[in-house]
Amino acid sequence: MPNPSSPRKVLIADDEAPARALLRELVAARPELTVVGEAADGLQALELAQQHRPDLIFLDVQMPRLDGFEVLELLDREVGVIFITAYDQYALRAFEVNAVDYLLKPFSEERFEEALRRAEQRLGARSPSVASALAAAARPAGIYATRIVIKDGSRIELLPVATLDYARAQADYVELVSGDRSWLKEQTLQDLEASLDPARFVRVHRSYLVHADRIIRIEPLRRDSRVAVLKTGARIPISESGLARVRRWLEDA
Amino acid sequence: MHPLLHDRRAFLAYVASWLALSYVPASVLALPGGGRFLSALAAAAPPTVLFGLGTLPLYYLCQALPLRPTSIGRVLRIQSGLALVWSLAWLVLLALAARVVDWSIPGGLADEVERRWGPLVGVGAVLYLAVTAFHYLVASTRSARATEQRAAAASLQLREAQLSLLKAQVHPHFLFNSLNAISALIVADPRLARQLCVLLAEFLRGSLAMGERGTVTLGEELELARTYLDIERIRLGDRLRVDIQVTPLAAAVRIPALLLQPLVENAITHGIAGSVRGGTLSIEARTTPAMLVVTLTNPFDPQAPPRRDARGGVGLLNVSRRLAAAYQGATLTTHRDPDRFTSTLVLPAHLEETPHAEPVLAAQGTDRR
Repeated sequence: MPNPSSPRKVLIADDEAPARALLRELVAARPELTVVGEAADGLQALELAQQHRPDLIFLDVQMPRLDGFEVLELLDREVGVIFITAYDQYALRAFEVNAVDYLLKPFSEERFEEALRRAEQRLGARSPSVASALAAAARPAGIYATRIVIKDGSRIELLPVATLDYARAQADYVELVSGDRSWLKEQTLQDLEASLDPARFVRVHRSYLVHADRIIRIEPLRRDSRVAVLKTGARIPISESGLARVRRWLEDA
Repeated sequence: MHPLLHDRRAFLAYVASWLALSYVPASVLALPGGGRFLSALAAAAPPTVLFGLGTLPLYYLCQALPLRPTSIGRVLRIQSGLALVWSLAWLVLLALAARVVDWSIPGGLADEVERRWGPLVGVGAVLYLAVTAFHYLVASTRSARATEQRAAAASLQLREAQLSLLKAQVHPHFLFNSLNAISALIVADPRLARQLCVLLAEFLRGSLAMGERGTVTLGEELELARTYLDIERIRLGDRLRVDIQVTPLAAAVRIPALLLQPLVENAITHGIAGSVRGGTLSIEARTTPAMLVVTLTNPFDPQAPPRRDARGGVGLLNVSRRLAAAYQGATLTTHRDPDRFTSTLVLPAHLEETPHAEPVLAAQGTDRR
């Protein structure tokens, strides 16, 4: 949060006009806050966030184009977020587990102020894992991500999970590869793996997660080491424990 | 197992009746000019009781050869043949028993059996037919009871489906979002806030009232849908447009109460609410000579964020279940184009109150066809 003398910038993202009006009214009543933008869908929320660099976002969970969790994944980690939802037992559990601020519709002014206070106390940037952990916790058991949101410069890409060939860990990023295209996303391979169906994606190596049905054969490389050859021709190293996991996948498939 | 073998008292009663039935062949043997009655009874009782026990497995034959108008001739032929075989076997046993009795108390009983074999075979055949009739009676009573149990189980399932339908009727998401809209509008637009309160009350009252009724007219059902859509229009703004086309005859058709509502809500939550541009929900209802056809079409954004709640499809499944419970030959079909979802409901166009559909609440009868 910046110095307290200048009003802090607030962005409101909700697809229902009355819900936005309510937040606008409550924010307007506080001189230390100022509304810099209102978004009616997740994509617009990201665009406005890039444009206005808000300090705080009120973020509805269910919105067209991108839902609240997807927006959080692509948002700068310095921005404070207060989630809003009407009724979503999975999201609520995720908020509680990850200590994320939220408001339940309809909410009282007291509850609104409390959420603001708590957001202020949470100074500094979120850890990059929060967004993934939140999205994973908000999914019912056995339900996995069907698409991956990626920021490519100022463009937002929606990569269907079905088209992902493999992912490679690169320091704080993962490289996502589909055919001859690839993207970098600020996420750990562990977090990505947790969001995907383990029956379809196999961790063949400390640094590689492979869409298992893309593997056409496994070739020996040297003594004790092997590579997986994918339909696209890509060659992915397989570690010893990775080989055991591939074998298990082949047996189950 | 034969039902009689499960019940000791019933089994003993069965054996006792066969003992009593020995009176008949004994009387034939002891007719004037025949043997003494007590000797005749002593000879007749063992084969007759054996006859009764030996015919117990016929119960399964009776189940395998049900008495139906289409197969009655075949069944009669088989059973008559078996009656002859069984009564001859019984006669042989009777002759043996008579010899045994003659051996202890000489009275020429075996000769009597030989002399009167004709009437005795007749008695055996009648006994066979009597026991067969008895088995048919037992089998039909039991199958009636099983049918009753099945019907009770089906009715229980139906009621559970109805209960879950009712619970799902007013989606918490819808309710809390509406309350939030009221909370927002109270300051910004008090008149609209009041209107929203009234609409919400109308919708809840309508849902509850219709839940207590078995069938309503399509017109009444669409009235509730309009109230619901008016509320959604306040929340979603001009993203939601509604076009309802219904012929007067279609509006008069009776349908199970709240059958349409899940389809309408589905079109909003999984369609228009998830799309930035929104679009038109069109509901079209018409009748063919015998059927009512209701078609709902809504646009959807194929790129909409996947909904994490596993509810999707539950509404449609409920509608299918209720249709199957209420009618034969009614269908719900859905069709997904790249950006457009269509659900089509086809059901018999009854204009009167039908006994088929039970009220969603407080179900009374269990008349299901």
